[in-house]
Amino acid sequence: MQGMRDVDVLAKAASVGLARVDGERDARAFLDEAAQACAAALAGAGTRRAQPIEVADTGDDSRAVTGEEATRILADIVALRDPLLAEEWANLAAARGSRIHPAMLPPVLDWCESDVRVRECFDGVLSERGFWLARRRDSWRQCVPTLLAEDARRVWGEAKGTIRLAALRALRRSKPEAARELAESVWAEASAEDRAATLAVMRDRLTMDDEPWLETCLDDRSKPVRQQAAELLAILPESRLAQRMRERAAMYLRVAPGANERWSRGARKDTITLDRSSSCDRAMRRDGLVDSASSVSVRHWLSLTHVDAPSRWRHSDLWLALQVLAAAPPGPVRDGQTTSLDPRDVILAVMAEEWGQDVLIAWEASAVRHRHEAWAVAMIESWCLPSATLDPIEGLYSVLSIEQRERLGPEIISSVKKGGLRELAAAFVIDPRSECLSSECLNVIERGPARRGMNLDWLVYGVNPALVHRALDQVRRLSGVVEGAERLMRILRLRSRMAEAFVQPARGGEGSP
Amino acid sequence: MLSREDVLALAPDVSSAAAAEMLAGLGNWDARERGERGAWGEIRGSGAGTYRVCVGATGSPATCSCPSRKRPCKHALALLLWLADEGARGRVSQEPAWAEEILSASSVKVVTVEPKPRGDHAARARRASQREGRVAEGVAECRAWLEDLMHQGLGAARASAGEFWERPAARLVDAQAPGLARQVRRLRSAVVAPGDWARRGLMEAARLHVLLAAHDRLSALPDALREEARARLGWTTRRETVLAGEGVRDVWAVVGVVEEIEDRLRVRRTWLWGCAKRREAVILDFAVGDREFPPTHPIGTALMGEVAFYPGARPWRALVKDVEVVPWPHEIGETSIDSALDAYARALATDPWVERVLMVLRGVRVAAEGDAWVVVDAEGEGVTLIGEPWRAISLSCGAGVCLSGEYDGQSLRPMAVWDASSVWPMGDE
Repeated sequence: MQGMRDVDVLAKAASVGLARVDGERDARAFLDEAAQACAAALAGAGTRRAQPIEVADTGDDSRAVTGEEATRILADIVALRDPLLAEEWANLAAARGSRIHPAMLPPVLDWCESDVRVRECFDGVLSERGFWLARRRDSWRQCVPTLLAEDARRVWGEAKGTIRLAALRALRRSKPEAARELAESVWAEASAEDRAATLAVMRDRLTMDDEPWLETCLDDRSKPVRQQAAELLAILPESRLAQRMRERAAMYLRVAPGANERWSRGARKDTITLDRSSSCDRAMRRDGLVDSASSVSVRHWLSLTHVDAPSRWRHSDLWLALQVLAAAPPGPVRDGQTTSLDPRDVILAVMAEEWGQDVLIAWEASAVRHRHEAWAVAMIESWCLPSATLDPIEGLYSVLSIEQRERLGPEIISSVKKGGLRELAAAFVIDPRSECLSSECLNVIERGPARRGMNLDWLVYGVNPALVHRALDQVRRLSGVVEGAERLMRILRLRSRMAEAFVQPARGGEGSP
Repeated sequence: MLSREDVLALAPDVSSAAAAEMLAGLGNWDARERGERGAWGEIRGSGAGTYRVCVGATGSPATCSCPSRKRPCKHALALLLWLADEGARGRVSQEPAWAEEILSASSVKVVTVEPKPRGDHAARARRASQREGRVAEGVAECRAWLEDLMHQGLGAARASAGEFWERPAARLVDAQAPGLARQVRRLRSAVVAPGDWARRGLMEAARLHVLLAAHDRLSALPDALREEARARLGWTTRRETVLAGEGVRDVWAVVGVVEEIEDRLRVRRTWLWGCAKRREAVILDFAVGDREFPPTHPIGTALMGEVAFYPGARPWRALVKDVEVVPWPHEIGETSIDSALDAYARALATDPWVERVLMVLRGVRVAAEGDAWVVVDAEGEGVTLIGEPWRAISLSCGAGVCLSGEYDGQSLRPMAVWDASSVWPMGDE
């Protein structure tokens, strides 16, 4: 054929229509030519040259990749997009020192991009290869806390609110000093909101090195910032603020001399006195104490311990005393140190007084804030908690060691059983996955009736994996009244597979990819 | 390990699934045990006797001695449900001889369907010649429509209503030439799409033209090309005929499974790569509406045995005839992209209507050129990729990797990537 025209020329003619092109009459001949031209174009299309990406040297990553079954389970979890299961998988993998299989890194990073909740948990198992991959794509780089921490200063300068804080949080975890230095350097230009949020980040890895700076923050212009600084200083037992609080506590609450002997005789009244003076001087205000109890200030001081302050406090002349007692470590103070009196005795003595309930609520908050195990145990055991709901239990329980939890857990559950399923769920939230707690909860459910609209999500996510088959039986039994029984059973089976998969010893040979 | 949902999905119909759930309880079974490879048991039938049931852990085999013709039957499903619920708990027992025999037969056989009775010879001949007449009329109409379209121009057609395309397509279906209707719809898709529509429209119009021309010269064409043209026009070959023919023996690696929507139909292509002969085969499955596809072999399986091809200009569409599962062969595929493109050109020369060919590449690396991703061989020659090949990058760390994809003359759509230890699908992550 002579002078076969190029495909693009022919395409132009075809698009305007042969009727409008001079010299084109015969559609068939045109199509014949087109067929040959197209075939030639397709067959003749050559390769294109390009420079391949550099081979990554992700170093000698000594961690083994998770096994086949564990990887399959991760694929199932990613397909389900369930953040709670992701956290459990990541924790199990991290505990065994494993990393995610390279082929699963892209779907996991995509998930981190779309869901903030999973970013922290996957950070620990992405490994060097995951970081290398994430660095190649902007939208992924912002989702990996470790990468944000590497570049925190630049991120702080360029990015917006939540990402900045994520970078700072990640930096604080790996290099607390550097995080504080960064925070101090940007302090002047930061808004009040940013300053308060930054201080909140400093709670992680808080040490006495942070104390000087925090003490200066007590003079900040903005009230939330001052409150946050006071909050942090109260946790550091050697800080100047903590010392001041202990001195004040000693003034407010006094134990009479010879109290020990009276307690051993069973006499408790008037062994402890509480001072009701309610004048708040400038130093006290600087340390974050407020003299009038508005609802906001009451909420703030007790917010971290989940203790709901009773509304009577708003009009109480005890308000100042209670704040001080909540800020200082629990228990009576003498000579600048908390006494070594037995908490149980102190509690009983305090309960005998009319203001006893309030002081104990303040000491609940204090025990949680200062993570004081002896006091937490004493309070739970005495079961004298003035706030009769389960909320404070969660705070106090979190302070306990594992042995104490195993000991006290069943007692808590058995005393809650009467309340019903909601209370049971709340109690379970305290320490899911403990085998004895799971067993207790299942006992209650097994004996109880099926009620319309029951919610078993808390059980399904928290039950100890060894007891999954009992939970499966219950979900099946209650599938008539529980919503989404199929989904719950799927989650239970996944969790059971997960527990088994991670129990097998990691085979070293799988570390190669 | 199958889950409850997977088992219920295997049921041939709703009543089997419901019956299976009822039969799963212990009371119906005389004996029921779990082993390494599956489970077996004896269940009381509705009559006086008991049936022996044996199932594999993956759902295959699923045998039962009951007289029901449905497979898997409700007894097998019930046993699979029990297995799914048992999970990894409970005792693991030794397989009895009869169960061992069933579970050992690891070959995956094709189920042959009983051919329908075909009626008498004369009636068939009459129907065949009627069809040929209708197709000829349809072809003539279609040609006139195409020539008119070329005179008016693709640009004008681009703005036309759906009716403009649907009417000729429907008439071609009436004329018993569904392949031509499909080609008309492909032309429509190319013309109304954004981007390079004029060039792609011209290609599809040319393809339609060649198909019409082939019809008119059907008897003069060489055998293979005539078979191909008939298949493209819409004449089908029955499965039994294909399976009865001689197959090609090789180790066939399942390198890709792609699902697409075409008009009102869902199509699934399962690609096989013959490792020794270095040739492709594709299994086509269709599904209407929400229906499930029949089960297929997953990516990462290798099948040793016979594959039978449909008649055509070059062998591409196939059916699995008689195979057994073998370990995945490593180091398969082409190392040179240039030769892979040559293979495409040869395919085009043999079959003018080829839409896409399989490429299996090894030792190739990923390259980025601006917004586009390219896969290059050791010489630096490459071909454009569709999508973002993150899984390949992650698995290879930038070094060489093996991957498979569909090539349509312009770019490669990756389907799977693998290294020495595992095979992973691409394009859906």
